Amino acid sequence: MKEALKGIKVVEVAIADVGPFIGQYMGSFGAEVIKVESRLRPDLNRLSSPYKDGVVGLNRSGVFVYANNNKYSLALNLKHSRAKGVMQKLAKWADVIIGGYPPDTMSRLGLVYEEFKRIKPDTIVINTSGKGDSGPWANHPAWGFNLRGYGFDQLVGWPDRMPSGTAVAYTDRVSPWFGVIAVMSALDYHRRTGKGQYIDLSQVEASLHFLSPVLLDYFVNNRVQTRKGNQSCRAAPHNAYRCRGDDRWCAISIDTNGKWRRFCRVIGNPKWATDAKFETIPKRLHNSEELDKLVESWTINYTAERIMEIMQTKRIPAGIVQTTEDILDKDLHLEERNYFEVLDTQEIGTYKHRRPPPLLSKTPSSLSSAPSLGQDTEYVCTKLIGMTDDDFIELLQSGVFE
Amino acid sequence: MTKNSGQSPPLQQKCLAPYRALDLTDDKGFMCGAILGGLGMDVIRVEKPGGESSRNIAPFYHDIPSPEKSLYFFAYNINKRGITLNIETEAGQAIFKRLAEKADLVIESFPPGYLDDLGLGYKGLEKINPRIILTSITPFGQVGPHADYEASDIVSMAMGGISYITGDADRPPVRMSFPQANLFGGIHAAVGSLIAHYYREVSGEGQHVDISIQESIIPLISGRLDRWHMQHYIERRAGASVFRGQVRQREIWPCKDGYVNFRLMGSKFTAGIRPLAEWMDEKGMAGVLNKIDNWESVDMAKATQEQIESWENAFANFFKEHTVKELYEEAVKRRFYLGPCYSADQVAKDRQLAARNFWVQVEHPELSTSITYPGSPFRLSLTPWNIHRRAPLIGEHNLEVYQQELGFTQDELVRLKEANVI
Repeated sequence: MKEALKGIKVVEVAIADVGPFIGQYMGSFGAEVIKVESRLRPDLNRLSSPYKDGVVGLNRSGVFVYANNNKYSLALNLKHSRAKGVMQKLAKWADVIIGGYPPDTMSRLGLVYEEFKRIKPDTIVINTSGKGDSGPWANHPAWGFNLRGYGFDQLVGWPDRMPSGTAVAYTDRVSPWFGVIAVMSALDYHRRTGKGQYIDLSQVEASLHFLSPVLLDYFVNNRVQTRKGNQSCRAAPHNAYRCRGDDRWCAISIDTNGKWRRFCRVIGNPKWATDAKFETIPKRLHNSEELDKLVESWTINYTAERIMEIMQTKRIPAGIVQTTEDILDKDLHLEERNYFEVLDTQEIGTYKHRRPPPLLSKTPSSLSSAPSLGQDTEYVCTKLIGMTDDDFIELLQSGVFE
Repeated sequence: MTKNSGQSPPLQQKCLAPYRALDLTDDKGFMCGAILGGLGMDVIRVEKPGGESSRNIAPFYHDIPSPEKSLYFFAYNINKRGITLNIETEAGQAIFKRLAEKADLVIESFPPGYLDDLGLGYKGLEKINPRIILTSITPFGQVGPHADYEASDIVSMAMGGISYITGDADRPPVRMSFPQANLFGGIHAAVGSLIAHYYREVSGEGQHVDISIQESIIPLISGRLDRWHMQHYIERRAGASVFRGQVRQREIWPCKDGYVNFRLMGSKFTAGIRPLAEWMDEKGMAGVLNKIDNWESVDMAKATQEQIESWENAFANFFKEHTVKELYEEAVKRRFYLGPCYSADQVAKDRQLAARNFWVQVEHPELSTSITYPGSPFRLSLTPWNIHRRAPLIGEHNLEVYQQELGFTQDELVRLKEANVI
């Protein structure tokens, strides 16, 4: 099977989400990825629930497994006196190095671009951090769940209440994709010119591109956009409507008179739908609160699945507000698209992976399960980065592979 | 702020400069070409005569509704030239094929099958140019039982699983008020295109990249998916709090003049909490937190809801006495894990972004002004990303492309215009 990124060698010295997702994408499409981690200071995701059977263990976290498929795990204590030598061998081997600690930590560990460049002049290094590698706040340890407040949280929730917030570490799931783009671009430039370079990825700066029009609205119109529930400025009905069942909802969005007429027909042409106050788009927007209640008086009688089906046959945008159970176990569309792959994973048993979104017709991604911590130390050292068996044993005895 | 568009790096320093993309997207796919264009790719928007209808997305420049004043269009069509072409006519298809012969990438977001019917889908394009990559962005992808489903942002976010866990417990699931779904599709389209591009340069083979906006959203909730898969547990929305296992923990906290992001964590994360507790103690406000001898032993997973709430009360009271600025600056100084909960104006005034020269000025000569835009999403040391042109006006580069490049004469262009081909 053809692999798009076959032959690309990646070393990942990063924890949590951003750096590891970059490595995971590349590995899923065929790159060789060595994850450098330590039992003494494990990747945070190895210490995140849910654990298999609720039992804590470094190799039992689902969160870790999801972000770290297709990687070798090399256990290395970066603070050990012999670690530098191993790191140098890794740097010599790698085409791309992914770093994921604040700048001062990377510096303390000797994991800086200048060092790597000395070992391999055409190396590509990407460092991922919360706020960038320079500036007064660069060394502030920053996690996605603290950084999502850079514009996102305030836009979620209801106008009469404090923000509900994004519910997830939002910038952790926006910035990695920008990181992959930067690395792939650098690889292309390297292929053509033989030159490597350094990439500085700030979670905040990358993620703010998902708010560009909001920022432009402020700069140009002096307007500070804020949360408005599920309202739209150009569609009504437009909301999540309660359906039959416990906390079941269907999102419906009607932005043209054509869709509105089809909608009225499909819900049986109730009298209220012919009221003049719902005749035009501006009128429906103006009376949207009342309209929503009336729509819900219909939706409450049906399941979300049924409503989505009925609406879609009339070409009206509608979709179940899917739970995790809906997505993993009931979404036949995702199943047919081979979005999931069940893999046998050490200590966890079977794990239902999700492939990276891009579906490439000739070189699709191919998933292999995430490693246990340090499971590939010997293989990586003796078969990939050019250590002799004797050197490996000597280093093993020094305790550096912890 | 840096004036950006006048200081474009020379062409050889732009890493994707040798490549060209034909961008046929509507708002479902704008983002892809905007990011690739910033890396130097020659991205040409191909819109129907009169302009693409996504040019009418609010807000507008000074609230003047016009297809050449949409801030949404401005934001996500930077770095692109623009031509008009009616690909539903035979003449238009012929012209498109000529362009595709020399293009490296075609980006589109039409309903599945639309381009195939015009002979311009992957099968048709591959015949003209075996190296071509076609990247298609749709709400549910090219194939599957829902491939022809209609969507809009609220529907995509619902089907992608993020809406269910977002919002307050006593109100409907909610989406972010600024639409995000298409942006996830667009960014993954850029990722997929570049991976396919790498393979193409090595092998000579192009391919079709199928991007489903739904699939692109689902990674947001990966931890929650694992909770269902491994623990058969569905988390409910909890407003400004989140459920960690069975206990609810606050994440957004009111402070004196706004809100901050903070989550109480124990065990290995205490390095980022203890400095805050120490500061609170200095101010005599640590309260029950002083009863904690050993922060490392605090295990949030084992704490009761009452315990968590008693700790959280101490933080809540402390935050209410301080401004966002005070809390954030102290967090940086003392290295505890806290972030600001900014609105757009506060983002614009953030000290770190200013010091990084994040904001750039982009010339809009048609408005006789320049506008501030977010700058580089990542910084490449040798081949920097930048905004080298604003979004194109309708048909702005027709002459450049049709006359100068394809060799059409003035008369031919007039006739094409009259026939509604361009």
